[in-house]
Amino acid sequence: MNLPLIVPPQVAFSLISPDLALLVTSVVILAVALFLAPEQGIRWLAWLAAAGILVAAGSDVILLLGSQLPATTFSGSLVMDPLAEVLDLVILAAALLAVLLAANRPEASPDYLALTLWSAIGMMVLVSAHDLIVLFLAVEVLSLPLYILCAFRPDRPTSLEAAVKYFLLGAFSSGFLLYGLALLFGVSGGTNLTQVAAALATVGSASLFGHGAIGTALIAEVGIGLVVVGLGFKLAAVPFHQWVPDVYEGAPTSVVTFMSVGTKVAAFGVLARLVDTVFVGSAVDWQGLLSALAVATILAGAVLAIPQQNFKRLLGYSGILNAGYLVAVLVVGSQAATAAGVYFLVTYALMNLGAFAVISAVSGGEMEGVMIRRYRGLFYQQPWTAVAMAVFLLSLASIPPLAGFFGKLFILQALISGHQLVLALTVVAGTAITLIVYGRPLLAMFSPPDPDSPPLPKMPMAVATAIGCLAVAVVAVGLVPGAIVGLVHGVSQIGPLSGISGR
Amino acid sequence: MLTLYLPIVIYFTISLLVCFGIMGASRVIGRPKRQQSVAKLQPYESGIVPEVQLGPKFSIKFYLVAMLFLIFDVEAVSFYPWAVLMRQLRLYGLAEMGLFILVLGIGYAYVWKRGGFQWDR
Repeated sequence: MNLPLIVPPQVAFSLISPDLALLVTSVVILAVALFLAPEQGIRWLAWLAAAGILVAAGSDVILLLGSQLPATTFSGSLVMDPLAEVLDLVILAAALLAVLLAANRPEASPDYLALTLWSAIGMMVLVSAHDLIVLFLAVEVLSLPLYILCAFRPDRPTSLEAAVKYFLLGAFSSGFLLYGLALLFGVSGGTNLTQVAAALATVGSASLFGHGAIGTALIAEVGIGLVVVGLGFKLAAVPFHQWVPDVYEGAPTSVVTFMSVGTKVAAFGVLARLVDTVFVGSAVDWQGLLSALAVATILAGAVLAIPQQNFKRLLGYSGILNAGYLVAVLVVGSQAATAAGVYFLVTYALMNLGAFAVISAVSGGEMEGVMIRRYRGLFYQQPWTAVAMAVFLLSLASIPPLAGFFGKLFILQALISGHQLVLALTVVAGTAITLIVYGRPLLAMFSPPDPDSPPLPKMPMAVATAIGCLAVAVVAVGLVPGAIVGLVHGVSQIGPLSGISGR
Repeated sequence: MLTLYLPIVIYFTISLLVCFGIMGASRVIGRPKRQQSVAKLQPYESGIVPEVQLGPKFSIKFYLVAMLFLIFDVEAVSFYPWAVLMRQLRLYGLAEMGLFILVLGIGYAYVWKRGGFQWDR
């Protein structure tokens, strides 16, 4: 029997060192947990996980500062460029905070830590994916641990409900994504994004009554549409957002902290890469598709957030709203716009992680603790927590001079210079509505406390430090927006550029 | 190109017609709901009247065992492609497979330690 000669892929281990660090850490955690009693040593394991994440972040920074980027590995199916590495850092920050928040909670267990790390690996691979199969695998590696993590408070029915809802809708969306990827593969005959882009560039615009290869153009259009639908579920874009509030409400807060930022970063990263490599060169009307998605997401997210009584649900709708801004900026399709999106994502991650950390600390794991009315008089009980939360909320409402303001400003700049005036107006409208949304919890925090409300739980040192660092970062980035602008300019070069062969 | 899919369209149309046709026919020809007897509302057991309450509780242990079996079974399938190409892949393939087995082994040990294989817990 003659078998085709198999050439093992060239693997540059230094390029995937962050992913390897997380993988090794997770396996070590499980191996060490074999020799510990179930309840014992979980704090040490959490510190081990945190150390692994820090090592991964360190190797990320080394890659960013070094001269290796942009580069491809695994025969061109993974691309490591500044975009991927910066987004990796945001994902790692979210994972680190999730581990810190969970350390003193009932959900903490070796499984929890390992699953969080695996999901982070999936996210990091997804933002580097340059191949349809790798893309789909990464989405699954990202999602499967999250489905399980949502159920990590089996004592609560809402946690199980969140897990089942997330799992069913996630599996459903994976179907859309896979179907779309299959159609793109059918049009192009290859799985590498370079091949897909080359094939789509030659496909005429889809028109049932035009001339030429109508079938191929239609298949390409449907394929792109299905891929956007599949990723839209992960990004929580309207109308694929129904799972968000329920999952955010029911899942443990540490998990929500991680997934609210991580999933969004990963989905934005892969969508930005698809727009940059595949969509821009094609004749398919992807801009109309994304514009409609963005307008619906911004308006629905902003309006639905207003009546929420539960802080986690409120932040869920806020996450939908911010996903809308991210989709909007992708419509422009230039690398400068992607850079604006990344800047926004970095600032969003800072304030969103901070807000969820405060919620986690204030609620102490109680269901009642996440209601907005519980925040009445927070300022008189824990002034610094309230001040930090105020910073996060004001930044989310894009009040200058906080980080969120500049994130929004750069997005507006990108939209206006890309002549997307409708989208720019929608972003402004959404921002105006969010003043009401974030204003209510703010008022509650600074109004006098209920005399009969139970005392707030004591905050662990690590969590307090994390909240403090995030609040300082939000203020600092706002005061010195140039600090990460340079970084973002570096991001605007998405690889692989023409200089790199796609091997 | 699109004509290639014409048989599929025809197939879908026919299956939709059959589906709705049967449902519609049973509504038109069949008796209204209120005339249905108790026997007709019971689960169909080949004409034999069921003697016990159907849908009893069954142990969730089966479910766990089945799932664990499935996971490790599917993992074992990954050995076949490697076995076929073992000589070509040489040391690279052997090292990859060793790593795979190592990770799988740690997972196996973890499930064992957590009592996943214990029948009476």
